[in-house]
Amino acid sequence: MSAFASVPPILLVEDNPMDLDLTLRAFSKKKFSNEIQVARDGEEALAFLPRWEAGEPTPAVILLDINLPKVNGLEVLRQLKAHERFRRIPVVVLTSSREDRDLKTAYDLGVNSYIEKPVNFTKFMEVVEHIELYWCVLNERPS
Amino acid sequence: MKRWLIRIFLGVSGGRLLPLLLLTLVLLVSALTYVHQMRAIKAAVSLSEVARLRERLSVEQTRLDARMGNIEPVELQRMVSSLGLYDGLALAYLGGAEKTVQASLSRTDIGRPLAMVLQERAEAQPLRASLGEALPKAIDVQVVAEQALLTAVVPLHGGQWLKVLVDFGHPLAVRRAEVRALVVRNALLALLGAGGLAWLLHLMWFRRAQKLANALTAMGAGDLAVRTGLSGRDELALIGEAADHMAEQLQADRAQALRMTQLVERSPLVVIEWRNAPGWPVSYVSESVAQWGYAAADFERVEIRFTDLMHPEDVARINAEVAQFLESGPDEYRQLYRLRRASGEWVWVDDRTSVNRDAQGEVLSISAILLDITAQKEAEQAQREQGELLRMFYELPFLGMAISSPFDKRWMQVNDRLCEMLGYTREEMLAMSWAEMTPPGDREQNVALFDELMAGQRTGYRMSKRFVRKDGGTVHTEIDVRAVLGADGQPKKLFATIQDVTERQQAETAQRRSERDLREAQRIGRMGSWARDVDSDVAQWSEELYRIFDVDPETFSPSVSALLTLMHPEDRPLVTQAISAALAQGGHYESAFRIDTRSGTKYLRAKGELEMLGGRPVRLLGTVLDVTDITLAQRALEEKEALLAEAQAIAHIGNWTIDLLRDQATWSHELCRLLGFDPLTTQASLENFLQVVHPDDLEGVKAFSRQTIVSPSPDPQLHELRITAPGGVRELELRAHVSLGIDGRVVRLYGTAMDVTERRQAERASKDYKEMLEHAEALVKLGSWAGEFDSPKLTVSDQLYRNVGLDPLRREPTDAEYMARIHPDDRSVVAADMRCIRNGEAVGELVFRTDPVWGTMRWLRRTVRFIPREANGRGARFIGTLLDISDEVAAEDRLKRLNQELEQRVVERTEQLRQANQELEAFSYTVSHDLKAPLRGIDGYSQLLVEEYGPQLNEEGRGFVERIRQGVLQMGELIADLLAYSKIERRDMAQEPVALLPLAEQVVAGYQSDIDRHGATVRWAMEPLTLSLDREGMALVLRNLIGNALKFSRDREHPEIEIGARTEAGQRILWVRDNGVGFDMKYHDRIFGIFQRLHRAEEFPGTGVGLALVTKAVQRMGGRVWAESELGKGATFYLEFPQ
Repeated sequence: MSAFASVPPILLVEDNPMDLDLTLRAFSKKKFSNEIQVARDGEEALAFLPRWEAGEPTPAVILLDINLPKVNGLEVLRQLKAHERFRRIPVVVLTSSREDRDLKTAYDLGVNSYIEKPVNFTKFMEVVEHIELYWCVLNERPS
Repeated sequence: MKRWLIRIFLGVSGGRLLPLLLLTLVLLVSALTYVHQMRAIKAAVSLSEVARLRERLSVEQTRLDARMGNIEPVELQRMVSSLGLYDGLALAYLGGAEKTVQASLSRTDIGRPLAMVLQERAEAQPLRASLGEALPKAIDVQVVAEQALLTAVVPLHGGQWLKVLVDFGHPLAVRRAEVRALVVRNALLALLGAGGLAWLLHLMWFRRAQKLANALTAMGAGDLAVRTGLSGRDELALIGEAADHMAEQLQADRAQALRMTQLVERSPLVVIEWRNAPGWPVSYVSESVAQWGYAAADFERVEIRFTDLMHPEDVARINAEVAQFLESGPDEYRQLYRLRRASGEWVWVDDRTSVNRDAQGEVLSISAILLDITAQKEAEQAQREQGELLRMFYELPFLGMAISSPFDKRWMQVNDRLCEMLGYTREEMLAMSWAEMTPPGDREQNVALFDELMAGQRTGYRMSKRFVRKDGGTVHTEIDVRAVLGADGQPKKLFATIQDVTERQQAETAQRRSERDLREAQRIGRMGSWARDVDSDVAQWSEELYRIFDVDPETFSPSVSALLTLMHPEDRPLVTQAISAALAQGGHYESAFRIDTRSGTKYLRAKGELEMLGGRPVRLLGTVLDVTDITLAQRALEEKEALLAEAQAIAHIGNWTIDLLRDQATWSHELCRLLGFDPLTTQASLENFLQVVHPDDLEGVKAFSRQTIVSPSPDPQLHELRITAPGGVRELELRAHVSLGIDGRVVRLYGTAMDVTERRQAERASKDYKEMLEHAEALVKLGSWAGEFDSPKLTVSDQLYRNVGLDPLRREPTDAEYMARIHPDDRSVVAADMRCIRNGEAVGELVFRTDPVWGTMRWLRRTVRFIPREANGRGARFIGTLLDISDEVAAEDRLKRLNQELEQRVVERTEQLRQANQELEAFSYTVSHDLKAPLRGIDGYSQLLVEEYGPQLNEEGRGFVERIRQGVLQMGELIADLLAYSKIERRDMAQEPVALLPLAEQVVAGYQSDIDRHGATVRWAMEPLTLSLDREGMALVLRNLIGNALKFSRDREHPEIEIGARTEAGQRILWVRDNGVGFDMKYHDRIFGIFQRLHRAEEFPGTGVGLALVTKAVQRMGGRVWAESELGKGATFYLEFPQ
């Protein structure tokens, strides 16, 4: 664990088991070193907040689905971006929805990026690769 | 010396001295500054030059010392030559112990002994001093006294030396020039300042001092009107103010003295003063001496000696008195004597003299005030004479005279005549008052006049009064009383003259009585009389004559000519002629004439006669009778007759009489005309009348006349009939009165006949209109009403009664009955409304209801219109209507109910629709998201299957997986299209100007790779159009149409696509044409439906949503879409948008 302490994790919020599995596979295929943390619904995602406050490392990026049980992804986004300390954590909405309404709301709440999940698996792989490359390698995090 | 200087200064005015002093001071200071500066500069410049030279030479010393052991002479020479660059360095010599010059600025000096070189050059003279001196240890710089020169000796190693001469004349001159300029500038500035100061002082002090001096000089010269006019609070101003004040005081004093003198000059007093000198010369005499004809100057020049003017009889007395007074006083005394005027007459003067003495009692002068008292002396004389005359008059034997006391009314003095008149002795009289001798009848009036006199309201009175004689008889007197006023203005004595008029009184009373009788007679008969002497124009008029002519006897003087002016101008010649004729022929004359008086024109008749005496006319006597009333009455009668005829003609009324006893008839002219006869030629008769009566009315007329005669009535009888006049049938109304004889039988018929044709026609027309109106009102249930502001009564149509449920045939209802018909809730409104209308306030329409207790409730609408006062005099009024609008109200209610139901239904439907839309939205959302996740799973795992287990599958197995993935792809497209479709249905369409050509080009650019792949040609036929629509929607439409065109033409050898646009009949039309497979037009409508396809997916892939999407988007943008095609011959898709 200490060996990876310097590499921040990626928080993946996804309820659909199939999508979750495929995403994790996509990550493992690309052999990135980041730990993937998983939240299966909005509540679980928000449960990370006290953990971070307790000192656990914050993620390099949060991949957030919108259609989530219990607490909706947009609500999770709202609470994250309203948080004084953790609002700087990059959040990428990764969802099937291309609805204008969702798009606008997400950007109004301060999302850092909005990506539609392609149906085509090859394309989906590319997307995952791009996300990791961009947010975990190229992007500079605020300390 | 000092005094001399001060005298010079005081000899020059301050205004000139001060600038001079300032100038001198400035110049002096500037000169001193200059000299001081020049000295200081020389010291400063030489000091700095010494320092500069020393610094330079120490550098040279170091350089030369360093090189001195091993140096070429040429090098040495160059080093010394370089010193020539030093400013002002004139000479430089380098030498050694042998005292020859080794290097110099001048090449010719080299090698020669220094002493010789210095000897040859005059400018080198200051250096010669150093020749004998031992070489100094350090650099020695000397200033050559009195010259701008420096000499320096620099000791070098090995007994070598360097000697130089520097001329610093140039820097010195430059500094001096600078200082000179500075000093001159400062001097100029100081001069300017001094000039300013001098000007200021001139303004503030010297100029004003001069002004003050001028004013004081003028005052000194006697011009006291002059004022210094200095403003401010400084010393000069204070002096000026004091001087002004002094001048003012002096001026006032002088004016006072002048006034006094003038007063004396104007007074009747003559002031004269003699100086105590031999002959007593006159030193002053006032101008008022001119009243005696002398000039004041004559006395002062001693041309007239005062004593020469005195009356010779007075001279001795006066001189003696004066000598006495001068000798032993008193010093104030008074003398009366006579003086001669220049014209030679004598005047009496009252001389009041005062003697002026000095402290020692010596007489200095005598001054006297002379008052001319001649008039006084004369008045005294006249008074004495008057008193004598009065006494004589007082004793005249025919007039009673008395003086009585104003306080107790007692006689103070009476004359003999009065005693005789009243029968008392003088003594008896003086013991009585006049009041007790006055009978009670006159006493009151007399005392009243007396009181007025005492109150100062009159100065005297005159009255006729009686006195009671001692023997008890009455004396009639005329008494005249005058008051003699004392100095206090109060009556002191009353002076009365009393005349016995008893006999005269009796004669006058008799005459007055007869005159009064005559006057009364004339007044009653309105006849005046007059008399006139033949020879004179002046006449005597009786009182009544004045009244007739309406002139004031006090102011009007009667004469023939005056009489003529009163007459109407047209009548004057006639009267003049009549009078002349009477005078010429004797006998009498008569004439009638008019006069214009204040009360109007009067008509007069005059008669006159000549009075003869001894066969000669002496007097003209006459009377004038006022016949105005008679004349006017006659004239009025004539006018009334004319008016009656006129009125008959205007009103078409004729009158007639029938005398049954004489069998005679008369017709007025108008009646003749009415009946169609000529009034001048027609004889009135019953036959003529019956001739024109309409045959149908003949019997009626006869019956009417029989009835009237047989049973006479005191009231006029009416009958209408028609006549056939030349202009057509006319209708006449006859009015007949009867006169009864003594036996009670009718003897005479009279009356009028009036043409009523037009009136009857108008009445019939009016009746028709009324019926029409009633019919119309009943039809639409419209009641009408009218009223006038001046009258409380309303005119109301029958229908109005019916509208409120009242019976019109009954008598007119009262207000209370009318109000009872109105709905109780509306009564107060209707009453208030009526009040407003009565007040002429503008009111709108009013709707109210009838009371349902009387039957069905009716709705009524009231309108009103105000009509202003008309020109013909009809007063302001109002007319209105009352319309039964119950049917209208009922219809409105029904409509309102229907509308409410409809609105309710719309609300319900809208709610249903909203719910359906919401469900659809939720459905679309589910489709888009929840369907995509499993698809991604299928695709993902089939891909993983191929990747992970590919080698374990055979060819067929891999084919299956490939088809699974193909299916997923199609499903994905379908979902994307469905999403787009639902989105276009739901989203709000924007309205923005969109240029079509750039948009189409953008879309085509998106397909560029497909176009290249299929080798398609794109042809443009677009007019530049800009439409107001939704950009994204339009882009979607074009994308689908162009995509379709490419898809369906890709198998052609030369795929061609045309994109065009044009405006046609106000419509914007856009088309996309291809030369692809086309379709059968019978499927035209199907292809625009959703999920409708004409081709199998293997032929042309697609979801069947594209054209449905196009249709939906175009519809939502307000346009329409259609296609034209033929199977195998391409297709054209048209879009149309309204302007």
